[in-house]
Amino acid sequence: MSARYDRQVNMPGFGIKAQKKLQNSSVLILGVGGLGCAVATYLSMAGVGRMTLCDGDVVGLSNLNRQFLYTGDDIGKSKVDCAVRAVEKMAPRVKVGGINAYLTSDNADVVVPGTQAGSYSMVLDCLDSFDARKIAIQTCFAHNIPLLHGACEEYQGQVLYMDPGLKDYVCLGCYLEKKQASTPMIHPVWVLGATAGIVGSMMASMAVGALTGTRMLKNNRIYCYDGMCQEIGKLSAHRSAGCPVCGNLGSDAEQ
Amino acid sequence: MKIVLEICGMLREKFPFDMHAFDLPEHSTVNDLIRRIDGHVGSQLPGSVWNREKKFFRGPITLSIDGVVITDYSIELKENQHIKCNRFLIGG
Repeated sequence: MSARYDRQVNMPGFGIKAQKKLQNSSVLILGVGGLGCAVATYLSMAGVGRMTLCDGDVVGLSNLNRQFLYTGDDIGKSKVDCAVRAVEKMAPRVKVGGINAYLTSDNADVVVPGTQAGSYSMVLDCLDSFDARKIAIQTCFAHNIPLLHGACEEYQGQVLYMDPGLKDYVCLGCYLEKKQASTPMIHPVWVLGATAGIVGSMMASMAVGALTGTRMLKNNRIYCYDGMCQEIGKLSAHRSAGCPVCGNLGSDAEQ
Repeated sequence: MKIVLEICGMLREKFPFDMHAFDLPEHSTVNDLIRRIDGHVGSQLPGSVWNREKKFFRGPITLSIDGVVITDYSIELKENQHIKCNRFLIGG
């Protein structure tokens, strides 16, 4: 095992076995904005074997307060192309690929499951719209792929793990009152770069735990980071048949 | 009956209070509480936080009791319940 990973391999409870599991795992990162940059950085540097980045956006000047995989020279260029190059440079052992497109209902069944030879161990939701998240949740559920959601605004963040294979599955939509699921987001979203970094790092830490089996993540626990007082709270919800996202998926929703 | 509303996270800066005890009639629901918030501070809140036409928050929020999110706003509240209000985040 390469000395590159010594500092984590030697952590109590981690070891070479966990590192090999990480090396054999494959992740899809949806969105390479503030969260996606942090997630891609920490997962690639930790030694994830394969990584696919998916985003249809180009780099803009206002991205550069938090999206540290890009520089001023990248403005106007595809985020995915730039991020793939940056990750390859940072972590040459990782096989990294890019999908230069937004996730939509038209491409979700191709993007999310991956190819048969390379289906994903986990999908990371670093998206920035509820509509795209709804597609990600429904597609991951249909293909039985764990989905780790993150979001951030201003000084605040939230992280939720949704594994269709575990009991107590509750999706992001179950946390919202029904009418609010169609509430448009407020544009533009203001965010401190460090907030995106913290929340993305929380996601990467949780993903490493789940991919290596060193930490068992639980469904139905949304972690709420409040950077104004540096506190992390937890919320849970009840899965509801009326959920606009997962209400018609599976059969264990409360009626 | 007394219902305590606590404003959390980034909404805290936009509200004139962090925590407020509302006195509501017995059998009041979450919807009644929201109407009371509108009457109490709706006109003082910035348009980015409160939709004065809909008399509701602008952008999604969660209301929770004892760490569990309420998704049915027609449920009746109970004396001395402590409700936390948090912005539901969308940005990435």
